[in-house]
Amino acid sequence: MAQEEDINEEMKEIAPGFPVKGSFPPPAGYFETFPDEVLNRWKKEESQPVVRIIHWKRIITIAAVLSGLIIGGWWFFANPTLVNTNDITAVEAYQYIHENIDEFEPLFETADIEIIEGNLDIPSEAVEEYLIEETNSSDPEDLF
Amino acid sequence: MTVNRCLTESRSMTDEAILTLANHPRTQEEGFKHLVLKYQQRLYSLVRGKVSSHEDADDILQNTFIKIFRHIKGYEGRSELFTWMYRIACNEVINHQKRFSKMKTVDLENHDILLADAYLNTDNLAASLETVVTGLPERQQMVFRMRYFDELSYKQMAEMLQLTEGALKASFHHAVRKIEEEFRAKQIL
Repeated sequence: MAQEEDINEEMKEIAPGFPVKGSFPPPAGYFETFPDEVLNRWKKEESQPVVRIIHWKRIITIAAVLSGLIIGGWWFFANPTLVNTNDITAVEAYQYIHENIDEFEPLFETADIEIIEGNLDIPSEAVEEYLIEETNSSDPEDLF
Repeated sequence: MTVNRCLTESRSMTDEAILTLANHPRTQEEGFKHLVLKYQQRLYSLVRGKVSSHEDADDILQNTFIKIFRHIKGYEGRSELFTWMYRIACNEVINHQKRFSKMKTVDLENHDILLADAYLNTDNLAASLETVVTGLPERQQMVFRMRYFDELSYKQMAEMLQLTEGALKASFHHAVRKIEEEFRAKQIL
Protein backbone atom coordinates (compact mmCIF):
# COMPACT_ATOMS: atom_id res chain seq x y z
CA MET A 1 0.00 0.00 0.00
CA ALA A 2 1.42 3.42 -0.88
CA GLN A 3 2.52 5.51 2.07
CA GLU A 4 -0.02 8.23 1.42
CA GLU A 5 -2.73 5.56 1.53
CA ASP A 6 -1.55 4.07 4.84
CA ILE A 7 -3.85 5.32 7.52
CA ASN A 8 -1.43 4.73 10.37
CA GLU A 9 1.24 6.82 8.60
CA GLU A 10 -1.23 9.63 8.07
CA MET A 11 -2.40 9.47 11.68
CA LYS A 12 1.20 9.73 12.91
CA GLU A 13 1.54 12.96 10.93
CA ILE A 14 -1.70 14.67 11.80
CA ALA A 15 -2.42 13.29 15.25
CA PRO A 16 0.60 11.62 16.84
CA GLY A 17 -1.24 10.85 20.07
CA PHE A 18 -4.16 9.17 18.37
CA PRO A 19 -4.61 5.48 19.21
CA VAL A 20 -2.90 3.31 16.62
CA LYS A 21 -5.26 1.00 14.82
CA GLY A 22 -4.95 -2.64 15.55
CA SER A 23 -5.08 -5.26 12.87
CA PHE A 24 -6.88 -8.57 12.64
CA PRO A 25 -4.43 -11.25 11.74
CA PRO A 26 -6.30 -14.30 10.45
CA PRO A 27 -5.27 -17.83 11.48
CA ALA A 28 -1.84 -18.83 10.20
CA GLY A 29 -1.83 -19.96 6.58
CA TYR A 30 -5.31 -18.58 5.88
CA PHE A 31 -4.30 -16.47 2.90
CA GLU A 32 -2.38 -19.37 1.41
CA THR A 33 -5.38 -21.67 1.27
CA PHE A 34 -8.12 -19.10 0.72
CA PRO A 35 -7.66 -18.59 -3.07
CA ASP A 36 -8.01 -22.31 -3.79
CA GLU A 37 -10.96 -22.64 -1.41
CA VAL A 38 -12.91 -19.83 -3.02
CA LEU A 39 -12.06 -20.99 -6.55
CA ASN A 40 -13.15 -24.54 -5.75
CA ARG A 41 -16.40 -23.27 -4.30
CA TRP A 42 -17.00 -21.12 -7.37
CA LYS A 43 -16.30 -24.06 -9.75
CA LYS A 44 -18.61 -26.30 -7.75
CA GLU A 45 -21.42 -23.74 -7.77
CA GLU A 46 -20.97 -23.03 -11.48
CA SER A 47 -21.12 -26.71 -12.39
CA GLN A 48 -24.37 -27.31 -10.51
CA PRO A 49 -27.59 -26.93 -12.50
CA VAL A 50 -29.54 -23.81 -11.71
CA VAL A 51 -32.33 -24.68 -9.33
CA ARG A 52 -35.22 -22.34 -9.42
CA ILE A 53 -36.23 -21.36 -5.94
CA ILE A 54 -39.92 -21.84 -5.34
CA HIS A 55 -41.44 -18.73 -3.85
CA TRP A 56 -44.35 -20.01 -1.81
CA LYS A 57 -45.77 -16.56 -1.26
CA ARG A 58 -46.03 -16.03 -5.01
CA ILE A 59 -47.68 -19.40 -5.53
CA ILE A 60 -50.23 -18.70 -2.78
CA THR A 61 -51.03 -15.29 -4.29
CA ILE A 62 -51.55 -16.75 -7.77
CA ALA A 63 -53.73 -19.54 -6.33
CA ALA A 64 -55.83 -17.01 -4.42
CA VAL A 65 -56.35 -14.84 -7.52
CA LEU A 66 -57.29 -17.86 -9.68
CA SER A 67 -59.70 -19.17 -7.03
CA GLY A 68 -61.32 -15.73 -6.82
CA LEU A 69 -61.74 -15.59 -10.60
CA ILE A 70 -63.21 -19.11 -10.79
CA ILE A 71 -65.65 -18.57 -7.88
CA GLY A 72 -66.60 -15.11 -9.16
CA GLY A 73 -67.15 -16.44 -12.68
CA TRP A 74 -69.20 -19.36 -11.48
CA TRP A 75 -71.34 -17.09 -9.29
CA PHE A 76 -71.83 -14.60 -12.12
CA PHE A 77 -72.98 -17.17 -14.68
CA ALA A 78 -74.88 -19.48 -12.33
CA ASN A 79 -76.87 -16.92 -10.35
CA PRO A 80 -80.49 -17.01 -11.69
CA THR A 81 -81.41 -13.58 -10.28
CA LEU A 82 -79.09 -11.86 -12.71
CA VAL A 83 -80.98 -10.55 -15.72
CA ASN A 84 -79.53 -9.96 -19.11
CA THR A 85 -80.44 -6.37 -19.96
CA ASN A 86 -80.76 -7.26 -23.65
CA ASP A 87 -83.92 -9.27 -22.83
CA ILE A 88 -85.89 -6.26 -21.45
CA THR A 89 -88.42 -4.80 -23.84
CA ALA A 90 -89.16 -1.08 -24.06
CA VAL A 91 -92.60 -1.68 -22.53
CA GLU A 92 -91.13 -3.51 -19.54
CA ALA A 93 -88.64 -0.70 -19.04
CA TYR A 94 -91.37 1.94 -19.20
CA GLN A 95 -93.47 -0.02 -16.70
CA TYR A 96 -90.55 -0.39 -14.36
CA ILE A 97 -89.77 3.34 -14.45
CA HIS A 98 -93.43 4.23 -13.99
CA GLU A 99 -93.80 1.93 -10.96
CA ASN A 100 -90.54 3.12 -9.38
CA ILE A 101 -90.66 6.75 -10.38
CA ASP A 102 -89.61 7.84 -6.88
CA GLU A 103 -86.19 6.31 -7.44
CA PHE A 104 -85.70 8.41 -10.58
CA GLU A 105 -86.70 11.72 -9.00
CA PRO A 106 -83.20 12.85 -8.20
CA LEU A 107 -82.45 12.68 -11.93
CA PHE A 108 -85.09 15.31 -12.66
CA GLU A 109 -83.91 18.24 -10.63
CA THR A 110 -86.27 21.21 -11.15
CA ALA A 111 -83.32 23.57 -11.15
CA ASP A 112 -81.86 21.70 -14.13
CA ILE A 113 -85.17 21.83 -15.98
CA GLU A 114 -85.37 25.60 -15.42
CA ILE A 115 -81.88 26.02 -16.80
CA ILE A 116 -82.77 23.93 -19.88
CA GLU A 117 -85.96 25.91 -20.40
CA GLY A 118 -84.04 29.16 -20.11
CA ASN A 119 -81.63 28.04 -22.80
CA LEU A 120 -84.35 26.93 -25.22
CA ASP A 121 -84.80 29.17 -28.21
CA ILE A 122 -88.06 27.95 -29.78
CA PRO A 123 -90.11 30.37 -31.86
CA SER A 124 -93.65 30.91 -30.56
CA GLU A 125 -95.10 29.78 -33.98
CA ALA A 126 -93.47 26.37 -33.49
CA VAL A 127 -94.96 26.10 -30.01
CA GLU A 128 -98.41 26.98 -31.40
CA GLU A 129 -98.09 24.38 -34.16
CA TYR A 130 -97.13 21.77 -31.60
CA LEU A 131 -100.10 22.61 -29.38
CA ILE A 132 -102.51 22.50 -32.37
CA GLU A 133 -101.24 19.06 -33.29
CA GLU A 134 -101.52 17.84 -29.71
CA THR A 135 -105.07 19.20 -29.31
CA ASN A 136 -106.34 17.76 -32.59
CA SER A 137 -106.22 20.98 -34.61
CA SER A 138 -108.34 23.03 -32.21
CA ASP A 139 -107.42 26.63 -31.57
CA PRO A 140 -104.83 26.76 -28.75
CA GLU A 141 -106.48 29.92 -27.40
CA ASP A 142 -109.48 27.73 -26.48
CA LEU A 143 -107.34 25.76 -24.10
CA PHE A 144 -106.78 28.72 -21.76
CA MET B 1 4.70 -22.03 -8.54
CA THR B 2 5.05 -21.26 -4.82
CA VAL B 3 2.41 -19.23 -3.04
CA ASN B 4 4.80 -16.39 -2.27
CA ARG B 5 6.00 -16.13 -5.85
CA CYS B 6 2.44 -16.19 -7.08
CA LEU B 7 1.47 -13.53 -4.53
CA THR B 8 4.30 -11.25 -5.59
CA GLU B 9 3.34 -11.70 -9.21
CA SER B 10 -0.33 -10.95 -8.50
CA ARG B 11 0.47 -7.83 -6.51
CA SER B 12 2.61 -6.45 -9.30
CA MET B 13 -0.06 -7.13 -11.92
CA THR B 14 -2.21 -4.23 -13.03
CA ASP B 15 -5.99 -4.43 -12.66
CA GLU B 16 -6.28 -4.24 -16.45
CA ALA B 17 -4.07 -7.31 -16.90
CA ILE B 18 -6.08 -9.25 -14.30
CA LEU B 19 -9.36 -8.21 -15.92
CA THR B 20 -8.13 -9.27 -19.35
CA LEU B 21 -7.36 -12.73 -17.99
CA ALA B 22 -10.61 -12.94 -16.00
CA ASN B 23 -12.76 -11.97 -18.97
CA HIS B 24 -11.39 -14.63 -21.29
CA PRO B 25 -12.90 -18.13 -20.83
CA ARG B 26 -9.55 -19.87 -21.26
CA THR B 27 -7.69 -17.73 -18.71
CA GLN B 28 -10.63 -16.92 -16.47
CA GLU B 29 -9.56 -19.13 -13.57
CA GLU B 30 -6.02 -17.76 -13.64
CA GLY B 31 -7.41 -14.23 -13.66
CA PHE B 32 -9.66 -14.96 -10.68
CA LYS B 33 -6.74 -16.42 -8.76
CA HIS B 34 -4.63 -13.31 -9.35
CA LEU B 35 -7.58 -11.16 -8.30
CA VAL B 36 -7.97 -13.06 -5.03
CA LEU B 37 -4.24 -13.06 -4.33
CA LYS B 38 -3.96 -9.33 -4.97
CA TYR B 39 -6.96 -8.20 -2.93
CA GLN B 40 -7.74 -10.90 -0.35
CA GLN B 41 -5.78 -9.29 2.49
CA ARG B 42 -7.18 -5.84 1.97
CA LEU B 43 -10.75 -7.06 1.67
CA TYR B 44 -10.31 -9.41 4.62
CA SER B 45 -9.07 -6.54 6.78
CA LEU B 46 -12.03 -4.41 5.68
CA VAL B 47 -14.59 -7.16 6.35
CA ARG B 48 -12.96 -8.37 9.55
CA GLY B 49 -13.21 -4.85 10.95
CA LYS B 50 -16.98 -4.98 10.58
CA VAL B 51 -17.74 -8.39 12.04
CA SER B 52 -16.90 -9.97 15.35
CA SER B 53 -15.25 -13.24 14.30
CA HIS B 54 -12.85 -14.67 11.76
CA GLU B 55 -15.45 -17.28 10.72
CA ASP B 56 -17.95 -14.56 9.79
CA ALA B 57 -15.24 -12.65 7.92
CA ASP B 58 -14.25 -15.79 6.01
CA ASP B 59 -17.85 -16.52 5.05
CA ILE B 60 -18.42 -12.93 3.88
CA LEU B 61 -15.13 -12.83 1.99
CA GLN B 62 -15.95 -16.03 0.11
CA ASN B 63 -19.40 -14.70 -0.82
CA THR B 64 -17.83 -11.42 -1.90
CA PHE B 65 -15.36 -13.09 -4.26
CA ILE B 66 -18.03 -15.43 -5.68
CA LYS B 67 -20.14 -12.36 -6.48
CA ILE B 68 -17.14 -10.60 -7.98
CA PHE B 69 -16.46 -13.62 -10.24
CA ARG B 70 -20.08 -13.79 -11.36
CA HIS B 71 -20.37 -10.10 -12.14
CA ILE B 72 -16.90 -9.24 -13.34
CA LYS B 73 -18.11 -9.04 -16.94
CA GLY B 74 -20.47 -6.28 -15.86
CA TYR B 75 -17.63 -4.19 -14.42
CA GLU B 76 -17.40 -1.23 -16.74
CA GLY B 77 -14.26 0.40 -15.35
CA ARG B 78 -16.02 3.61 -14.37
CA SER B 79 -14.43 3.43 -10.95
CA GLU B 80 -11.30 1.72 -9.65
CA LEU B 81 -11.59 -2.06 -9.47
CA PHE B 82 -11.07 -1.99 -5.71
CA THR B 83 -13.82 0.62 -5.26
CA TRP B 84 -16.21 -1.70 -7.12
CA MET B 85 -15.14 -4.68 -5.01
CA TYR B 86 -15.38 -2.59 -1.83
CA ARG B 87 -19.06 -1.90 -2.61
CA ILE B 88 -19.75 -5.60 -3.12
CA ALA B 89 -17.97 -6.44 0.14
CA CYS B 90 -19.94 -3.76 2.02
CA ASN B 91 -23.21 -5.16 0.64
CA GLU B 92 -22.20 -8.63 1.78
CA VAL B 93 -21.43 -7.27 5.25
CA ILE B 94 -24.85 -5.60 5.36
CA ASN B 95 -26.56 -8.85 4.26
CA HIS B 96 -24.65 -10.71 6.94
CA GLN B 97 -25.61 -8.17 9.60
CA LYS B 98 -29.27 -8.48 8.57
CA ARG B 99 -29.14 -12.24 8.99
CA PHE B 100 -27.19 -11.79 12.21
CA SER B 101 -29.71 -9.31 13.63
CA LYS B 102 -32.59 -11.62 12.68
CA MET B 103 -30.99 -14.48 14.52
CA LYS B 104 -29.80 -12.69 17.62
CA THR B 105 -31.63 -9.33 17.48
CA VAL B 106 -28.43 -7.48 18.27
CA ASP B 107 -28.85 -3.77 17.67
CA LEU B 108 -26.38 -2.10 15.37
CA GLU B 109 -25.22 0.46 17.90
CA ASN B 110 -23.90 -2.22 20.24
CA HIS B 111 -22.46 -4.05 17.28
CA ASP B 112 -20.50 -0.93 16.25
CA ILE B 113 -18.97 -0.69 19.71
CA LEU B 114 -18.02 -4.32 19.38
CA LEU B 115 -16.30 -3.52 16.08
CA ALA B 116 -14.40 -0.53 17.39
CA ASP B 117 -13.44 -2.72 20.31
CA ALA B 118 -11.90 -5.20 17.93
CA TYR B 119 -9.94 -2.42 16.22
CA LEU B 120 -8.51 -0.77 19.29
CA ASN B 121 -8.10 -3.67 21.68
CA THR B 122 -9.20 -1.63 24.68
CA ASP B 123 -12.83 -1.71 25.73
CA ASN B 124 -13.09 1.84 27.06
CA LEU B 125 -11.11 3.43 24.27
CA ALA B 126 -13.13 1.62 21.62
CA ALA B 127 -16.44 2.55 23.21
CA SER B 128 -15.33 6.17 23.62
CA LEU B 129 -14.16 6.38 20.02
CA GLU B 130 -17.45 5.00 18.73
CA THR B 131 -19.42 7.44 20.90
CA VAL B 132 -17.39 10.43 19.73
CA VAL B 133 -17.52 9.37 16.06
CA THR B 134 -21.30 8.93 16.26
CA GLY B 135 -21.54 12.52 17.54
CA LEU B 136 -19.68 13.99 14.54
CA PRO B 137 -21.51 15.74 11.70
CA GLU B 138 -22.77 13.22 9.13
CA ARG B 139 -20.16 13.87 6.44
CA GLN B 140 -17.21 13.88 8.87
CA GLN B 141 -18.50 10.68 10.42
CA MET B 142 -18.76 8.94 7.05
CA VAL B 143 -15.34 10.18 5.89
CA PHE B 144 -13.72 9.18 9.18
CA ARG B 145 -15.20 5.66 9.03
CA MET B 146 -14.19 5.14 5.39
CA ARG B 147 -10.65 6.43 5.93
CA TYR B 148 -9.84 5.19 9.43
CA PHE B 149 -11.72 1.90 9.65
CA ASP B 150 -12.01 0.90 5.98
CA GLU B 151 -8.65 2.40 4.98
CA LEU B 152 -9.87 3.72 1.65
CA SER B 153 -7.61 6.17 -0.15
CA TYR B 154 -8.82 9.73 -0.72
CA LYS B 155 -8.99 8.99 -4.44
CA GLN B 156 -11.30 6.02 -3.89
CA MET B 157 -13.46 8.00 -1.48
CA ALA B 158 -13.64 10.90 -3.95
CA GLU B 159 -14.91 8.51 -6.63
CA MET B 160 -17.58 7.09 -4.36
CA LEU B 161 -18.77 10.27 -2.71
CA GLN B 162 -18.34 12.59 -5.70
CA LEU B 163 -16.27 15.02 -3.64
CA THR B 164 -12.78 16.42 -4.16
CA GLU B 165 -9.82 14.78 -2.44
CA GLY B 166 -9.00 18.15 -0.80
CA ALA B 167 -12.48 18.42 0.70
CA LEU B 168 -12.27 14.84 1.99
CA LYS B 169 -8.85 15.43 3.56
CA ALA B 170 -10.17 18.56 5.27
CA SER B 171 -13.22 16.65 6.58
CA PHE B 172 -11.05 13.82 7.86
CA HIS B 173 -8.59 16.17 9.59
CA HIS B 174 -11.46 18.12 11.20
CA ALA B 175 -12.95 14.84 12.42
CA VAL B 176 -9.63 13.70 13.89
CA ARG B 177 -9.14 17.04 15.64
CA LYS B 178 -12.63 16.91 17.13
CA ILE B 179 -12.09 13.37 18.36
CA GLU B 180 -8.75 14.38 19.89
CA GLU B 181 -10.37 17.35 21.65
CA GLU B 182 -13.13 15.13 23.01
CA PHE B 183 -10.61 12.57 24.19
CA ARG B 184 -8.51 15.23 25.91
CA ALA B 185 -11.59 16.68 27.59
CA LYS B 186 -12.43 13.21 28.88
CA GLN B 187 -8.75 12.62 29.72
CA ILE B 188 -8.64 9.57 27.49
CA LEU B 189 -5.54 10.63 25.56
